[in-house]
Amino acid sequence: MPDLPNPVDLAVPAFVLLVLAEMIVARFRDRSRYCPRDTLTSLMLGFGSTIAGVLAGGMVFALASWVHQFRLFDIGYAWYWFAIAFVLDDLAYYVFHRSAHRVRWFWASHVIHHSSQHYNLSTALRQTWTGFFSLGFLFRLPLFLIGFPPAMVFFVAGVNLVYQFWIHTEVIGRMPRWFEAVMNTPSHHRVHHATNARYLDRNYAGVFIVWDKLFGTFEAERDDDRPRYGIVHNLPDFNVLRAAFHEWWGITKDVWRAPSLYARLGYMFGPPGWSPDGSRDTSETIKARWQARQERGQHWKKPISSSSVPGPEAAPPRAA
Amino acid sequence: MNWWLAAGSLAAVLMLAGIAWALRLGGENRIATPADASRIAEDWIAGFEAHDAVICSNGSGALVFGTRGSVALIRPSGARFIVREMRNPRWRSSESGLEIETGDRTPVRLYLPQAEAAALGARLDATADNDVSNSRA
Repeated sequence: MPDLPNPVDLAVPAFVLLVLAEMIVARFRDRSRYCPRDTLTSLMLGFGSTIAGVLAGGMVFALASWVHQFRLFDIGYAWYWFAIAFVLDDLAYYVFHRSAHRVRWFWASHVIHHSSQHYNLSTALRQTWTGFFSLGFLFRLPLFLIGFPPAMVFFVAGVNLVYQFWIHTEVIGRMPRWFEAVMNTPSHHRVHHATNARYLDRNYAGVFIVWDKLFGTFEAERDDDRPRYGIVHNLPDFNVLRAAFHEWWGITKDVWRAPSLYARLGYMFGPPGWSPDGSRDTSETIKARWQARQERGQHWKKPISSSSVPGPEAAPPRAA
Repeated sequence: MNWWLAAGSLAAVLMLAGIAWALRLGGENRIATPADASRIAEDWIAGFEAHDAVICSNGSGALVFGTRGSVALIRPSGARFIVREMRNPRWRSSESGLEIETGDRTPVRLYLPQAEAAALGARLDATADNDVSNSRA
């Protein structure tokens, strides 16, 4: 077995330099793209996620190795197997990521990444502390059953994660058309991070946006509907612990007060916002209200020329 | 990851946060006009239709009354805003203004003259009981 490096470890210096470069661009173009407290929270969550990953990594690798012994095929380390593993791992990521938005148990872990109202390279580093606890790693097990060696899968998964770093930016508008058609880009991923009703639960791709186009979850960024980032119920402060655990705490409270087993299961494994009486907002109810208003013929956006707040009409610039 | 990488990562985190401060990124948001407040509420709350808005004296918060009996409370959060939709919120008026409970740990204070704060609180109560769109038709 070759001794493969951890791509994320190797990329850390580049992460730091690129965040620094984006901050300098923000200083001259739009200071509100960064907020120091938000940045510190994002980076501390990223640091904590790395530590959590190290603590859980051994167990995940051991589980992967155990599953791998039941493999269907013997797959070696030829370069083309890396390429195939990369594509299949990205498909597994799509399935995981879609579940992470549609099943509250997984959302509780993933929401951390969406909890910033900013969309910049530091947001990319705002990663979960509870990925192991939420069992998100289960989505990769089929690759080991097929026969891809664990070391190869974790290597390509690291490359996947490194790719996703650069798409968390407003500095880049749109990439060339052919690239936008195949790859996940800043434009596609801005849609994913947006809370605009039109954009909710769209663009789950990691590297290849083709998965969303294939499975009907693609939404293009529109110049007349600028993304607003964050979560539907934004966090009240920049507390790192709140960001890391608030949804788990929400699940705990809901399950504790739930009137029945059905409600308990719904609170844990239903979509985010599910409630037994339907009194809370899910992405479906939000979209329905938005749609109803659209159909009433009232424009969602009302440009106000006297506003001091940047209007939602303008899309992010096409280049820094 | 080894200990050196962990220590280096932590140092980089603190350095980048410090640089963000030094570059004076972000800043404090303020709500300039009722029209701004209305638009923010409509942007953030799906289906919300603003009827009118009241912003507090220093622009650090606003109440937006909807056409269908709900009320949005807006307050700046760094360079962005926190928007909460409320129905029948608890409130308290004082010399410094109106204090409203949103469900978050800390109530939000709108700086207003006391008489204005009390009147606004009474309107919150009235809004909870009546559909604004009907009462103002």
